[in-house]
Amino acid sequence: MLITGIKSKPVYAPLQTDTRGRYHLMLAMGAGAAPLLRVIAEMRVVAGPSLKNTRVLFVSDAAAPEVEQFKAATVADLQTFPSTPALLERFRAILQKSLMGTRLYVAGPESFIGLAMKIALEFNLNKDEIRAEECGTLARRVYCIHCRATTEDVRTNIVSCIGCGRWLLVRDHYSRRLAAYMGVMVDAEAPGELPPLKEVFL
Amino acid sequence: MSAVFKPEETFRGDFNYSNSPQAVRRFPLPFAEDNYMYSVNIEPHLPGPLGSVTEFAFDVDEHYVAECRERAIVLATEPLRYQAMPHMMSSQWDCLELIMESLAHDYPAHFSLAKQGNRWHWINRPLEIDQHFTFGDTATLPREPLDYITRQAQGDFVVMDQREGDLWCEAGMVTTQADWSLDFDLGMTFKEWHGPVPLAHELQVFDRALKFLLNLRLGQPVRRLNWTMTINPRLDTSPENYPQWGTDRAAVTAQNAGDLVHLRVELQGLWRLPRSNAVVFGIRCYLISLRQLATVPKWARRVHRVLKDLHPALVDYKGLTRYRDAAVQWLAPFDDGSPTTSGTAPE
Repeated sequence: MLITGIKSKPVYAPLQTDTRGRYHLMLAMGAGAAPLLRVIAEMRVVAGPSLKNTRVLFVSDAAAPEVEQFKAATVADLQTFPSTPALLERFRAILQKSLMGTRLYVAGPESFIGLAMKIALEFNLNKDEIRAEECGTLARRVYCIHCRATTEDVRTNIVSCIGCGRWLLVRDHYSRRLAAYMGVMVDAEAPGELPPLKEVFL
Repeated sequence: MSAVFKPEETFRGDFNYSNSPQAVRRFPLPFAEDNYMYSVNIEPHLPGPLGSVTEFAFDVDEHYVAECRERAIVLATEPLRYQAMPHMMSSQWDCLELIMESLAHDYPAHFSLAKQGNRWHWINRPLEIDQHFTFGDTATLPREPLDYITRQAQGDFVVMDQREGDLWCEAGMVTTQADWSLDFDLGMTFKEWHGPVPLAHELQVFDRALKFLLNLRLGQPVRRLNWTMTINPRLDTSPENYPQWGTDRAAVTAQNAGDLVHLRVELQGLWRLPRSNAVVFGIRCYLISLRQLATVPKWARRVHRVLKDLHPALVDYKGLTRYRDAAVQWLAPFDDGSPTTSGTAPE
């Protein structure tokens, strides 16, 4: 069974401005603020001081220094959220009313990008309307192929499933629809034979 | 061929399964040579010789009734082994039409289809089904059309939507698979879906296969063979149920390999669908024990050689690691080193 080097594993590229977009919707978590600030600086070269069609949703406490940097960049609409679920709920509401010409920028840990992409997919955003840059933890969401539970924030090569308790091997096979990597029982052929636990997704 | 159905067969529990001598002779051996590597081995799905598995669009053989019951058993506890995204409804009707028309045309003793405009009458005698419905009106069938018709067919079916220069795995009935999950792979592009296959991406197999399939034409279906091995004649070797069948692999010895180890061959057919422009991918599974395979001397020699020299990455991918050596040992006495004739025919 192929574990690493699987082509469904997403590949991200540094964010760049999409000048064909009319509305720019930006999502960030933690270290994801830096790439967005970089893109905003690029935009201002073209658009001038006012970025009235640009909206930023940011998972962060309101006192984080990046909040001041976004304000200094005169983003028209900046909202901060205490958690990823709170941001995603707002994101979903915005997509329900969004117009053609909207471009989505996502920056943050892969699991954050994955959850945002999952929602974008539900709204049928095309690949060319979305861009994402990975920064921060590589911790994974792992979908148990046996009981369908998703274990969050997995940093190790194998993990005990939050749903059924089986030890799962974390594969590189990734579903954008589920925003998760596949977890497969690691000792199904030889019960109790587990490989050493290693931190691999840091 | 008019097969005699064996409704008492099972693919779990006591594994009451075997191939009749006729079924052995028509088994679709996937090895034309004494060694194996991936290739884009796609050919037109034209009618093959009388009685062969490719005589008709869909092969209905002696295992038909038992395989349909096996599918129902899987779905009773795991309904998500069938899934279809909402935009796939038009392709579902396309699939129903393709399967019903083919079966009724090719096996008139078993199936019949009568049409009066959109009012259709379907009869499946082996499964004792008699159904009037309105084509295109889901409310007139007991289930979604793809669910309905693939419960009456052997093999798995995946429907791929075509857009943005890609084929998207967005509907399917998958209960007889070689270790891949529709539930996990639903919504994937062609290359994402095939992501876990080793070596083939590097050989550009999927680039070429995708390019070929994007241009697949209506009325010009294609096919290929694929293979792996399975312990016991178990149709449902899904990742979902790996905890139930994984230990089987550790039970194989050079003594019992002849009865436990089965060659698993997939006859894969691909059809362009007329209304939806989707592509339906049929994956029909054939199982044969090494013992039955070895009743054909040429096949015993050939499979012995293929397994012995198989690329290590394929041994791993096909899950043969624990028992390949035992299978090779069991087959060795059948291989006297004499040459095999080319092609797959049993001689």
